[in-house]
Amino acid sequence: MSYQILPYRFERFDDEVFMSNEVGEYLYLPSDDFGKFVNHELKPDSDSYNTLKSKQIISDNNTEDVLEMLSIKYRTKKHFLTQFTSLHMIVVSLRCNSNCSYCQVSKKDINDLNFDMDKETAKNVVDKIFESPSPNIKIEFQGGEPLLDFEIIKFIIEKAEWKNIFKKKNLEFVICTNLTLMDEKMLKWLKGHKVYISTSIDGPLELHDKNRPLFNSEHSYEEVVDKINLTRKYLGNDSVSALMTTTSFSLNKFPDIIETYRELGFNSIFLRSLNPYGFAKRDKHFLAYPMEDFLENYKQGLDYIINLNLQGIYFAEDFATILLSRILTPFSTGFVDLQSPAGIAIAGVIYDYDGDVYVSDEGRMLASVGDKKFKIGNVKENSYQEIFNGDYLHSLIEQSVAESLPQCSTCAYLPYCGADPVRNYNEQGDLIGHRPTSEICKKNMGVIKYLLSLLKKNDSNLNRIFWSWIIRKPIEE
Amino acid sequence: MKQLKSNPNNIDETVIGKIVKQTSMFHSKKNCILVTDEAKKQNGYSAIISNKIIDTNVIGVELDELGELNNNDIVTIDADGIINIIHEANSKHNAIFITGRCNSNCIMCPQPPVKEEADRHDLNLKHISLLPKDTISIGITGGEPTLIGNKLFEIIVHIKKSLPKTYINILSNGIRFENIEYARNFAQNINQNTVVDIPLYSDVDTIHNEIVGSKTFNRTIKGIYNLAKFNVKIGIRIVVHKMNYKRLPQLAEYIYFNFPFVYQIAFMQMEPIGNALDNIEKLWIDPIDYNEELENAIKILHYRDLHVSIYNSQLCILSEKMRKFAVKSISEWKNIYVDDCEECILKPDCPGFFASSKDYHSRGIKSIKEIQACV
Amino acid sequence: MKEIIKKIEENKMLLKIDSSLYDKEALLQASYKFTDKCYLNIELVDNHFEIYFESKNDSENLEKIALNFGNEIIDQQIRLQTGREFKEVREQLVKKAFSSISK
Repeated sequence: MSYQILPYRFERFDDEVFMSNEVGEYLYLPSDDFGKFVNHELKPDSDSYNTLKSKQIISDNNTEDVLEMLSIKYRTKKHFLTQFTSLHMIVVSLRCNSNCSYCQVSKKDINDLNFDMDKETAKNVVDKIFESPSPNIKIEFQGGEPLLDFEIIKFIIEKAEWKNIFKKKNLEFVICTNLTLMDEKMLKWLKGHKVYISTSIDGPLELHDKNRPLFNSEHSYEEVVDKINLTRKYLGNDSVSALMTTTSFSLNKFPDIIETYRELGFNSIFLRSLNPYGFAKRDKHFLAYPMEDFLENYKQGLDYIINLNLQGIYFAEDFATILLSRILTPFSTGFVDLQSPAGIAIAGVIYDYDGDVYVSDEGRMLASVGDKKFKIGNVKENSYQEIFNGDYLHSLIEQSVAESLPQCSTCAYLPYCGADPVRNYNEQGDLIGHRPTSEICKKNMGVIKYLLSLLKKNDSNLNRIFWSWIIRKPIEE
Repeated sequence: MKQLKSNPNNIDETVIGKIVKQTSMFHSKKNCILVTDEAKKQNGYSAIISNKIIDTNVIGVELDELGELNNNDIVTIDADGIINIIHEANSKHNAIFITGRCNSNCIMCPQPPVKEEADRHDLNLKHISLLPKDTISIGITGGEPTLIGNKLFEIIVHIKKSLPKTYINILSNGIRFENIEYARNFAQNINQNTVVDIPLYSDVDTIHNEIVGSKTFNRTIKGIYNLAKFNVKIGIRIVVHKMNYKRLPQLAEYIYFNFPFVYQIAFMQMEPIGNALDNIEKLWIDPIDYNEELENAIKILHYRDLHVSIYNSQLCILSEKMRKFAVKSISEWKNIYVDDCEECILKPDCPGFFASSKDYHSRGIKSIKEIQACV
Repeated sequence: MKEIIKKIEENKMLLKIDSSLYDKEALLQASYKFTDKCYLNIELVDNHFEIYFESKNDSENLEKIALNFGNEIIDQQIRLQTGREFKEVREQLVKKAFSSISK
């Protein structure tokens, strides 16, 4: 019986081949059977034949029906497209009281008020935000240190809430802050509105202080921890989330960093590599590290976290959770940094203090060192259509569809990955990028393949732990 | 359903009614059937079931085993004296039998389909009217209920009206719902308390079709999708036997990827009766021998936060972790031919055996005297 | 295998591939993957592709690269071949997936 080969991608291993279908469902096929499959010689009703049918990589009598099912699943996977821009980042001020070693935002002096967003700009920003068709709107305040201009934060929140009475979106606010300037007065005000806090903890005291010193204090870590507790007191235990950034000083310390997160009452961590912008690029000779080193540390960190879970402690790694959702579920995952088409402007967008609009926060970082390639308009000068539906953005998006990028298009892990044109441009000189030398490809593929190797063990406990992260609650044995 | 043979007296057409075992001048006799030792007077009852009919004018039947009938059971009495107990008052698993016809021909069907039958529609409507108002759930079964077409909607609407809070569980192969209009009409007629349980026996079309006896895999799936379009709650049922046990984990994954919206999934131990008995060589596997695959499949679905159950499985042959998924789904405790069960501490929660499992049950049946403490 | 590899110098080699067996596209896709480790130059000579490899740094094992290249071009040819078979299906799939919003 002849069969139709349906869209798939593959990678060869020693005696088997990893195959994935168009929506990321995968299987391992013995090498011999793969050869037969390609030559249309695979025996019907054999295990391999049946599994390929089940994963919709071959069909023999019902291609139309299978196509129907695949298209529904494909639409589901790309669902983030239908929402359009839901993450709106606003740089309320470039002033900062911190002196992070890897500062990526080109912060300004704490007294230089020229770098605060003014009310007129803020009003225009809010207007543009609410022109987004997305039913979910998350407004994320960034900086510099946003709390330095708390007044404009209040102004924006109030304007947005007012507009939302008519627009009726699912509206959420996040402040990305080092928290050191938070006080009770601010917290009391924030309590009345749906605001979450995202802060940075790079590790235990010594490491954090080394990576993220403050300008006017020797006690960066202690102050942040103090303010985390204060914030939780007013806004609730789940109101604060934290991120870490890996510098060369963080290497070999991942277990300690994880323990710090646990002590501080967090139940997850995002093990992030260093983005090569701003000071991180300028000082990469002592801050940066080969991607292989990050990957080794990442795996160690992940193993450490898995062990915690095996001991009954619920703790997740956020990057793994996102990738596992893509590998194991039929659902769309909104992660603007790694999706196809890239999330630039169409999923997440950033408004600078002066009203300039950039496709991503990395795009804005490039602008702050002089390269405005990723500016798509200004809230005071351009209409929503000009900014978000203009030819320039279209051309950027066209070059950020992984399905049509060299090497990505046939990569077995494409369904789990994405495109990052800003990073490609920054590191390799053009939007398309050069995959064989791409650090970001190395990282993503490294993590994806490690997760797949863990899944291949078919270990019940491991699977249970991974799923507990995906469904966001512990699963009893 | 339980059936009794009796000697009819003056039964012209099928009588349906609720069993009453004690007379009282205060209760309504309408639609009631009295069970008594000696039948002397009609007294307004629709029929009388007794040991001995004294007055030959009485409409009723003679039956020895009066103990088989309980108060508030609902029965039909046919002209030939067959008594069908269509509702058992003491059982949680009652259903409306829509039709004996079916458009599938499953190799393990416990109740092989008929080609022709008398119209049951009015009888069923009456049946629904007689159901106790506190009925928690009611099934709609067959054969294949959707074969009565739009009349099925009347049944559902009547249940909704008489028993607004009752859960309705419809067993269907889903094929008729491949017609989007039928699916739409169906969805408009049901309420939030309704679930449609559809069997899917494999992730591979050829295996499913071989079991079902017709090439309907794709049509069933289309039916599932159509129902999902209208937000109907859908359950998937899998009867486990030799032809499909090997791919249970793959089927679990297939269900999750393709029908993530599914409301519940049930794995069912096979009842060795009817077609199943005729084809027992192809079908029989000791359930203990498919425990590994079953456990894998259940874990797959459970980890993905889906509601999964095991029906008709004795608890002793399941591993301890799996027992919490087992449902006490067999309504009768008959013929406990393994004396051991009497001493088993799990007996109160165990579904026990089908009466038909006498010759075909697991070699692993044993009483559990104590539960191992968790480590 | 060794006959098709011709070592020129310590860090340079020439690989000959029968051009009747592989599409040019497969050759290019395979070559692309090695542009991190080597500089490549490709020419069609008679009925052979001649691929010239020069390693970018001394630590690269050219022979291993040649062996991997041989396997890689087979895989790329497979991708090309089966890709032609399902190209239409993929286009249909994406079209269908977005049919409700396309105008």
